[in-house]
Amino acid sequence: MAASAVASPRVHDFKVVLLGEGCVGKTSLVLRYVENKFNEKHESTLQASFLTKKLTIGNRRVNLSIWDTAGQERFHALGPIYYRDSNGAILTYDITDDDSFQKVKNWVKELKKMLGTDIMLTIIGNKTDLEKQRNVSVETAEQYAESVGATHFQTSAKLNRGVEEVFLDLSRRMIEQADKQDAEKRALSPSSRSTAAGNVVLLEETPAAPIKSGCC
Amino acid sequence: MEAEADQSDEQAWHELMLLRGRFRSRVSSTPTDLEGCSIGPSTQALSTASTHSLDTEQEDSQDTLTNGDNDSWDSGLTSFDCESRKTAPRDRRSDSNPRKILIENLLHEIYGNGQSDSFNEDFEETQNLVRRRLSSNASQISKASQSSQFLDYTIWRLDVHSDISKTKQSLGFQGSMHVDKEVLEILSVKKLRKLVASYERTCMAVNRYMVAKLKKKDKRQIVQSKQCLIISAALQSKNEEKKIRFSITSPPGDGYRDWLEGMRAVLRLPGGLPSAFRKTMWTTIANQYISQLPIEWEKVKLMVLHDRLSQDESEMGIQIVKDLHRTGVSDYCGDHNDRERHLLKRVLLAYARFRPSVGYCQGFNIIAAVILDVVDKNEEEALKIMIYLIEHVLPPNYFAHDLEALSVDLAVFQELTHEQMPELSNHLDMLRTQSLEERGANGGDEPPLTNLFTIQWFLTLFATCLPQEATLRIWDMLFLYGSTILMKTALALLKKLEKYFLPMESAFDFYSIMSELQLRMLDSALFGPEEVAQAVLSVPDFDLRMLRLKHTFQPPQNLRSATNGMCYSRALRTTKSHDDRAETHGLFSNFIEKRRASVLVHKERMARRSSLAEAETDINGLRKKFADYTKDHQNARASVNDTAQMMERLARRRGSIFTTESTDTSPDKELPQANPFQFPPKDPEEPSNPSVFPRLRADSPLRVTTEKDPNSPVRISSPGTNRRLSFHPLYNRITSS
Repeated sequence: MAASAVASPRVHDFKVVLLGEGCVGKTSLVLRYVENKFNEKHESTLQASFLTKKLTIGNRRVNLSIWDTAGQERFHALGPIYYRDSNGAILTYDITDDDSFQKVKNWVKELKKMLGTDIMLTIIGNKTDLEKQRNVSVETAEQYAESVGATHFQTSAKLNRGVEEVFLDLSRRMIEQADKQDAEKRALSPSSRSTAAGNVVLLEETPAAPIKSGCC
Repeated sequence: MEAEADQSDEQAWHELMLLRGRFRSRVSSTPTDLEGCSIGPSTQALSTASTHSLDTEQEDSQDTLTNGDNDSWDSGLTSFDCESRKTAPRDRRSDSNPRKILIENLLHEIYGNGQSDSFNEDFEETQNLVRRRLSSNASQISKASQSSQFLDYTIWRLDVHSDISKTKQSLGFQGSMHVDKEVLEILSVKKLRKLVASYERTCMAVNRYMVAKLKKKDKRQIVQSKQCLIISAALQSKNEEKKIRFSITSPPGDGYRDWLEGMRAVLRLPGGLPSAFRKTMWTTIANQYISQLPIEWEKVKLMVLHDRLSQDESEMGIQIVKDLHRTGVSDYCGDHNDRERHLLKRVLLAYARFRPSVGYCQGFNIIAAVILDVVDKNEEEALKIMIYLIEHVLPPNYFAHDLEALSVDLAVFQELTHEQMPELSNHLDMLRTQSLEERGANGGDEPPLTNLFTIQWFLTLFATCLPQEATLRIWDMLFLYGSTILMKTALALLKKLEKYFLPMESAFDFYSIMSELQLRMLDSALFGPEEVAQAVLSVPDFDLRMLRLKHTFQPPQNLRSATNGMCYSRALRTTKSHDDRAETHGLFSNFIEKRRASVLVHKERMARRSSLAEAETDINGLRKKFADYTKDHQNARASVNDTAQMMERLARRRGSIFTTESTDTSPDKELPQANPFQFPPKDPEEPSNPSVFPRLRADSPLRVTTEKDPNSPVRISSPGTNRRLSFHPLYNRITSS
């Protein structure tokens, strides 16, 4: 748990990790979210890479450190460390590739086993621009997501569809989770002050990305 | 002229024979007429060409021209020559009809085959072949080092052919009409004479052309060798005593070492190796390496370089295909680059087939793309270079078996950073501890902060972090000096970035700024290639081999959450080929006790040898190296003793590992749950099945035979299993017999 308990305005440092089979679009998602870019020819991610994003949700400031990981399994030997203390995980599959969806299921199992309910899970079906070649039905994916307590989104990093929402929703849930944990702590030590819960208003620091048609 | 037409056949025959005699003396149409060639001071090579008959003349002249450049050019052409020569009628029958003989001989002059009416077809075929090759097989042509000359020639040749057809047309031949016996028989003496003259001219032209080209080539070679001498002199003046000889291509025989030295010296000059030499340098080194391997390259090549995907390769094929456009090199990502991607795929698959234990590792796509770019998309050369890089330059298991060698290098890098940039190292360590504390006890582990970036650096050999020109300069050094350059480059880069890191106050800040710097480095915004190259060359030397050894037996902390029980097998796997692993497990401890001394002496010697090999080209460097070396020698002794103790400890623990149910259950206390992501399918070769080991357990009786000479092999046999193994200290490897 990385949320540091400091006085208002509260700053949360959240660690988010992207997992999923190779070439499902993890890096593209992050690049789209952080830099609003889409690059068809970016290099395959080796091991892991790191990007950050700052946003404000309500009166909360959130620093997201986003860890993008390699799809190929042999790199996992080098650093399971990078996802151990994540607050949130984004599990990505390619809607045209059923194997990648099975892989997501494996990841959920692993994460649940290790981190219990502390970690907020988001499952993403990426590449909705290839709707015609879809192999994983929305219902199946949503049903599965619900059964494991994860939220499910459909995105297209290429066309910039639904990417922003994924991170916003995840950030909100991570804040809630942090609050919950704080409350538990307060229950243990009654002397601690109360935190303003308040309604959640979206106030992003960076202007929302203009939603345009696909790039490249 | 008209009077000539009235001359009798008899006269015409004599005249033509005379003409033919001259003609023959120029072109020496049959192999037996060798001596006839008098084309002046033409290079010896030409004489072979002029021994052939006219039809083969053109083909063969090409051989002559390209022989030096391109041995493998078009065996199709030469086989065609041989064919026609074989069938050429040798008999010069004295027939009653002189005209008939005349015509036959003329036909023979033209085709080398009296019956040949397939000349045009053959020639057209050849022409098409040439065109096809010109357009589609650029790689083949690029094999010729003087390809422009070759192209000139080919184009010229096509012109000559059109000249001939023009002459034919002017003589009354229509379109593609064949010059055959019947046609010739119809022709008047005058026309025949004209025809002979035209062939004579053509032949002369070919000869002149060849002579000119060969002279030009000779001249160029002289200029080149002079320039090489000048460079050599310049290099020698800079490095007083050492006799450096520079040449572009490696001279045959013993010259290879000198050539390497020369290349190294050039590399150190400002500007580095001229990019025109790069391809030659890389391919020469790779070829030298491949030629030393106990394989028959031609056979291996056929086995690995093909498009047929076997069943077990399909998964890997999919992975490779997914990565083809993700190389960061623009040549491979566009919609119009199917050919390039296909080549890349072939090379990647070929390497995976060549070394199935490594297979395909992400990052290879990037490496192979850079190589293909340098060798002008020649897949065979690219494959050789790739093999050389991965198998020879980099330590084993850099890309396979949990990337152990890479982990070791990361640990070595930490140590060197600490040594050379203590302030930065301490600062980063502080940030790391801080981040650990913030997360509390359950926060898990934080690897050294630089790892996130250095892993990428090492895996792609800097191709993804430096602009192409700088990458290639680094790779040049890598080819000539070995993997120590990787470490030096990483240190040099870190040194350059140090000033940005020192003010950072948290790990988060560090990662953020580093991500940013990485992008700026890629744009050459921070420093140019020359600056990087010089920085790398000025990094102080260190004994990489010793450091690797140290960290191999002392697995790096914080690198992975593997249980300590894994460390021993990791140590083994890193040092020995994986095939020997199972045997090694059982025999290691006994062996160590018996032969520790000789092995350590050997290792020391090897260390000395390798550091010598990497010694500087200048004598001062060598002197300094020698002084350092004496010091190192003492240090080495100390660390050898450490290593020995470590090995002993590990060996003692080994028993407890392999008598337990599974290798994964570790006796260690602090990290029982510390391996949360036991990533599912392990490498099938992993000896995780303990049933392999019992018969080789250390407590089963073993017979170890040693000899007095510390360099002679040790033989170990296990009566229970009838297995015999021998360990050869000189080669540091175990073989089973």
